[in-house]
Amino acid sequence: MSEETPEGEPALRELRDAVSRATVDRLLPHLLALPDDRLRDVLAEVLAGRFPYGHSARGEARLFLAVPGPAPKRKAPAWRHRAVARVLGERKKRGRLAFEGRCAVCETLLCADAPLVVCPVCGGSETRLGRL
Amino acid sequence: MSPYELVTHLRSLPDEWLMYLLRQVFEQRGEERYFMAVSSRERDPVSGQWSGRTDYTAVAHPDPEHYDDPLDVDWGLVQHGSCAGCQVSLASSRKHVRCPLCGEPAYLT
Repeated sequence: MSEETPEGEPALRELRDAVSRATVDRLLPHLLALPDDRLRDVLAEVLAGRFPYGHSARGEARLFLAVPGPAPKRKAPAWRHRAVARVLGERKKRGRLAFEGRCAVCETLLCADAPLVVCPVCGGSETRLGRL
Repeated sequence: MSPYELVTHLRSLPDEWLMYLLRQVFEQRGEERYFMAVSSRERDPVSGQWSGRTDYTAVAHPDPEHYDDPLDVDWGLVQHGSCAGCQVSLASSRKHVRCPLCGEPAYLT
């Protein structure tokens, strides 16, 4: 006898939503209590393996944490916001995103609180940022 | 809860729930004005080499004026469009959204 019933899918979704809601309620106070740099570390670890549209031989999409950059230019509304890079080694300006630069491989605008970082868009390239 | 446990639990959340949680965190902390974004780039399927430029899309949150429960869908960040205010590309799980950068309402398809 098949375990799949017309009611099976909604029931599974309800269960999944209930678990997700409980997880969110449980995690929120812990995330709020984290220092800013520790929160960025946790999110970098979570997002490093996150592919919102799955895997494809033709391309790749990644979720990343960002901070707003300068206001867009009216005639050239290019992306001017900064991706928060994953820190390698010791932090120099703990808590402040005082280092900025572009990824050496994909040229994504990056910022961090240490000079040596990994780009969250490429996923693997080390880049050295400069002080603002 | 240890950072390892936090990471493990956060990884278990579907995209729309993770986005919902992080928005609560960013709003309530009020330190840096963080937002979530998606990068996408293409590659040659034969050589594996990346080609073209990287595109960036901000993750928009469901507009509370249109949805009683912003989390009653589970199909991921499939709605796309752009913000008329700041012109940034947007993606979300819902059609009626607010831009995470300027707060303007937007309609995605």
